[in-house]
Amino acid sequence: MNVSTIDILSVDNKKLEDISKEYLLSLNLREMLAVKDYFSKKGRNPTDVELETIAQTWSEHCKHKTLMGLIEYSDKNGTMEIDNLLKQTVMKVTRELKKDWCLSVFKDNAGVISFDERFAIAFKVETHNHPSALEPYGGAGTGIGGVIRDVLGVGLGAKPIFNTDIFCFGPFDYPFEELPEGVLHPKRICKGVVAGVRDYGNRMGIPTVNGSVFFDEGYIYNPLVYCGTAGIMPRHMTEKKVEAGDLIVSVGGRTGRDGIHGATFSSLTLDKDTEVSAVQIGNPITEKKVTDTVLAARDKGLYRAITDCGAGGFSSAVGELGQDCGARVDLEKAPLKYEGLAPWEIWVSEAQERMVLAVPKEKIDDLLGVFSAEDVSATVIGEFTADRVLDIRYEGATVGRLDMDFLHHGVPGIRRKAVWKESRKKGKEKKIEANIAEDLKKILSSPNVCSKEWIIRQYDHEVQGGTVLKPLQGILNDGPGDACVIKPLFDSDKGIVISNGINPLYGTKDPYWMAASAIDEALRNIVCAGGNLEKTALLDNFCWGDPAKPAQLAGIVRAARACYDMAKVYGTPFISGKDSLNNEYVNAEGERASIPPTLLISGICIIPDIKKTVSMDLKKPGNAVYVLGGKKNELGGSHYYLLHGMTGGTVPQVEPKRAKKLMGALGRTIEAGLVKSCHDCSEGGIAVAASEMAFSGGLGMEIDLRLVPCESKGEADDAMLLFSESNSRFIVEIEENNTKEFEKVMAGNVFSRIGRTAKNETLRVLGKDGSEIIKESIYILKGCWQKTMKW
Amino acid sequence: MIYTIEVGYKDALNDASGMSTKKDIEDLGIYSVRQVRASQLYIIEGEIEEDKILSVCRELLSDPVIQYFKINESSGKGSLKADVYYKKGVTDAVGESVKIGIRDMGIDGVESVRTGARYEITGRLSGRIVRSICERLLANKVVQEYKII
Repeated sequence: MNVSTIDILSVDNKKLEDISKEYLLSLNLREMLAVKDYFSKKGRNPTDVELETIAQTWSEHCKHKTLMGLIEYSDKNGTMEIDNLLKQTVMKVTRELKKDWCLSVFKDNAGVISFDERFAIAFKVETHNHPSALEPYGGAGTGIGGVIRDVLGVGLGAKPIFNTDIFCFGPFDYPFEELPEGVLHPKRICKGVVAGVRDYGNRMGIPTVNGSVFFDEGYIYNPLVYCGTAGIMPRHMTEKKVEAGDLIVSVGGRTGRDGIHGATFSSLTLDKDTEVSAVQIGNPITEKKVTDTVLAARDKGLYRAITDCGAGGFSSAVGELGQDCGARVDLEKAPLKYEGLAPWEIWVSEAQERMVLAVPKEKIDDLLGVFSAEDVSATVIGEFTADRVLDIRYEGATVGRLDMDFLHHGVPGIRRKAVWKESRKKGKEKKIEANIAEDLKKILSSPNVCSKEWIIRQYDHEVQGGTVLKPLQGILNDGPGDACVIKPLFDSDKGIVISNGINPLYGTKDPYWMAASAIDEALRNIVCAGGNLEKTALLDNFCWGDPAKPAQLAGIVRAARACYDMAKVYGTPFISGKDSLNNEYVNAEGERASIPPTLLISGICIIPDIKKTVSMDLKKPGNAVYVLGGKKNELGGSHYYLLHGMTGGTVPQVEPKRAKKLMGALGRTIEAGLVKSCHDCSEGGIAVAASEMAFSGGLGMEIDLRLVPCESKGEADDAMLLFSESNSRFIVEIEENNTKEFEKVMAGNVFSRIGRTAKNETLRVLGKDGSEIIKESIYILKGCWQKTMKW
Repeated sequence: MIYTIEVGYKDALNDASGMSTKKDIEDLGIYSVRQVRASQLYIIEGEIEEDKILSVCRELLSDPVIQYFKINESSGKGSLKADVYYKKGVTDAVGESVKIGIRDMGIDGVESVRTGARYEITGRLSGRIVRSICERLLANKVVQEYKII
């Protein structure tokens, strides 16, 4: 039999570390010593199966060792100890907010919130970065496939109803000559990733409805691919419970050698010799069949628990389900793609499209019947036991035997240092030769602002027939929507609003304000479409460099704190999250480098009536245009500064108390039907938001910068008023006869009427001195916005 | 018996995949390509008679209105062809589906189905340029291999 015993009892520390490297375990010395200690008490050496099981279960990917460990954080105010950062921030705020509509948070495969008396909604966002760097198509496809299975494996299983996707790539026009060997060109990665998400999502019949793309040189070696899925499930099916004696059933795809070491691989630094067996190729047709049959079995009540085979394969899935009881697995029973797999390979393979069920013995025949009727493979591979031991066998012989307690609680806590130093570097600032109209066109064409229609059109965002407010809006269906609205049930007008916020440009300055801005942006988008903060939940996805570097870890601490501070005031709980650390690479100069710190915030909101949602395109000439929220001199990290090569300035901050009040008032005016269109000011400030509203609606707009509320001291120039990306601001369109009512509801907030919509198809802006600084056809502006990504 | 089957769009029709590949080649800084035609390859191995393969091609692999198919022939002069396949051991989802599809037609004897893509490239080209196109664009050597004919 192809099982080896590895001698760790008689070797020294140096050799222990070598073993960890040789077997790609990604376990550090302290962890290896804990393993040694465990086995010396047992009086024997571990098998490869056992070492692999421990490595997978203890991996950063599965255990979040760093963020749940001990962190010694110091900044200019002194040093403090943080025990379990996640519990102290994102999880704490959810506990404190006590929202009764949060049904299952931070414990299952996805966060679950209440939809109505009958149904609940599950939402999860994952990353699939390293595989996508090596094989963009397969990596992104299996990324979306994996998160779909997360949702299918939450509680007793939810039916997937929409996908989201957010990407960060290197610049798509990066010169080939400068690209190091073994690194795929950013444009190729971008196209491959989009095709992967498209083919998987479309073939599964799930609409991809929300996303964004961010291009920056920091992602050339290590792109970020975030994939999210939401599902709907009956309310009484949000919990699972395995009982001793239940059979372990593997459903779906066969097991092969693909994707071995995915979980531990995600904790490694990418270099040009990175192991290739970590790449998986997905098969959406299999996953579609698995989804349909699992849901049929769920509705018949044929199983007691379900989870997906994600990172770590069977070892993680069975290990997790059997955590509180125990399990016996007969590996030879697992259906294989081909012969010749060693037991440990079967056990940790991350072959796609597999789910694991816990099935009561008396229901096994019915269950197998449901799957065989649809030609989906379902096989009993073991049984859950009561002895709290994980017993792994191959052809009758024990190849691994581990105590569940040790496996799940034996990992030694990590203690890490985090040191925050405020950047003293006074970035580059210079006097900018103002050419406002030209600058606006350039910003509209810039990669991070321009139209992403080329990508969006490849995704089916209509399938399942519930997409009410679509990603592309306006008279020609090509304007950039803020958020998407889904109506999941045919017999109810209740809806779901989905949005995201991400802005790594601020992260290199201060992750605290980056996180705050991302949360504000996600919430702004929700409110724009007609959502309200009362019923909004958030998801966090941290992508960072090596947490062993004190500066990197300090950034995470600051971002997590912002999550707590902001969510607490906004009253929006976090329901699920994920971290992908070690996004590092060896660059062309041979140095280790980190990606820009990147936090994605996804927002989800349940609304009572989809008929009261609003799109972002102007609707009628002669309407009043208001800007809501005060403007500050916060050009740091803005696209205007980027355009002019400036790295200084203050990044936008957030005042959540005022913002919450403003968003609440705006929400009431939208609900009352007073608002004709609404768009948030984000990348490119008022100038870009106004242009987008105008050209999406096919109407002109006239605004006067003298009327824009400004809160900074000193001179505000035209450029600052137009391009500063201060948070918590909106532009809204109000019919003339509703302006009084609108102003009444908004009273007590900073807002101002700045102009009106016009029939003339021109964007006209008056500057501080009353002169005309922009007079441009909306079609020319639209052309600038569309030309960049006409691939 | 091994059958190599090529399925592509008929000449008069838009070949979207070929045209976007041509654009991608231009993005590499190579402007000497006049046309790219992309087609799908299926390598079917097993004990199957030729007339059965013919019906597999007609009924399963091609759409007779817009597509042509060729069995075991590689024609087309004046162009270079790059065939790209998944490496052995990499999941070939389309291949697996074809295998099931043939079985569902009531035809037994299929041992394996591999799929690939064929790019027929015309223009002022050398083998060296086509190799560079393969390596930089068409085949990802992590999971794929290519052959130039």
